[in-house]
Amino acid sequence: MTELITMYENPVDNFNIIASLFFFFLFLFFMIFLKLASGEDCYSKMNKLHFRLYFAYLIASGLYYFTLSNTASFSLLSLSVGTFIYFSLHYVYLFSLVGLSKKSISMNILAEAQKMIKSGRELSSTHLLDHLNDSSINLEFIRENRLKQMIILGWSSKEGERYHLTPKGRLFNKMGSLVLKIWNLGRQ
Amino acid sequence: MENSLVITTQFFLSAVMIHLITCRFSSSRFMFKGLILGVITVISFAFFQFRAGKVDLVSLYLLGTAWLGYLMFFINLLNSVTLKMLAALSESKNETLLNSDFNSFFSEENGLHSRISLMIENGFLETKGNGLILTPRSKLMVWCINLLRKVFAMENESQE
Repeated sequence: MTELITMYENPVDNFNIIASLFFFFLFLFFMIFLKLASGEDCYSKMNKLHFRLYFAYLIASGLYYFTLSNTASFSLLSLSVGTFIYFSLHYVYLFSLVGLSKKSISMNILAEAQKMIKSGRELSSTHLLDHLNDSSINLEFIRENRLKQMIILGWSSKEGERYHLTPKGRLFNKMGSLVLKIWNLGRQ
Repeated sequence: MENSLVITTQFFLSAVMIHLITCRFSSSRFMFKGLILGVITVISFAFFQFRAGKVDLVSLYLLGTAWLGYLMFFINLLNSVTLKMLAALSESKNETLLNSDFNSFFSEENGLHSRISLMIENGFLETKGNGLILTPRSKLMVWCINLLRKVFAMENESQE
């Protein structure tokens, strides 16, 4: 089995891969310990720490190479693979889980429904809708939240009650529409 | 490592091309087709490596994650409420909308009532008499989400 599963010949390659996992789990530890996923600006706090630890990863990789520079060769390729692993674990997996827990409307509806059952309240469509409208999962709250997000992302600007599209927003929308057009997909 | 990465890229790009062609023919069941194609591609790649006598777990991870990232990119592009609102703003006259203009757009597209109906349709909620009950599947999902919220200290938050 150990012969079948490849370890790379160059120790720097192996280090770059394993260190990417180590630094990601270090980030995860700090994220939980410092409660970075809570709060309104959680994404920027998480990204900031994630980026800082990426630099620590690069330094560790460089230091390891210099300690072995007589016997091993530098590999930009394995560093790129390590970088991909480090970023994909964050953006593809962890970010999605945090987003699902915080922002998914459907998940929040289900969680509120279970809360109602646990507190002994009757669960019907009408009761659930009333409960949701009283909680933070009402349409007005969600709409305001998404409008605020567009301003934070620089896609729109607000003047009084009026929202204007910014050049950045126009560019993002055009790029998204172009990709959807190429793949023959349309928003419903 | 180089060879393995070149082959991973070839497998990934081939899968993207096949997916693009199938989407050009018919855009229905985009997600289902994407998932099936992804699973087939990763299994084929693992089988290819096994036959060659060397299984590279890193390249298998790269291929699987790259495919998942590819699908997630499209899922977000298609379903993101923020992107839908951006599109509505972009398509409006003079590229400007009032706060109230988003009301009809939002309630039509994402009304809570339609969400609940969809959840019943997809087996996450069940009607029993005049009431609703959570199915085992949705109970498991809520348990997982509550656990995540506890671990990440998000227990008292929703819709941030």
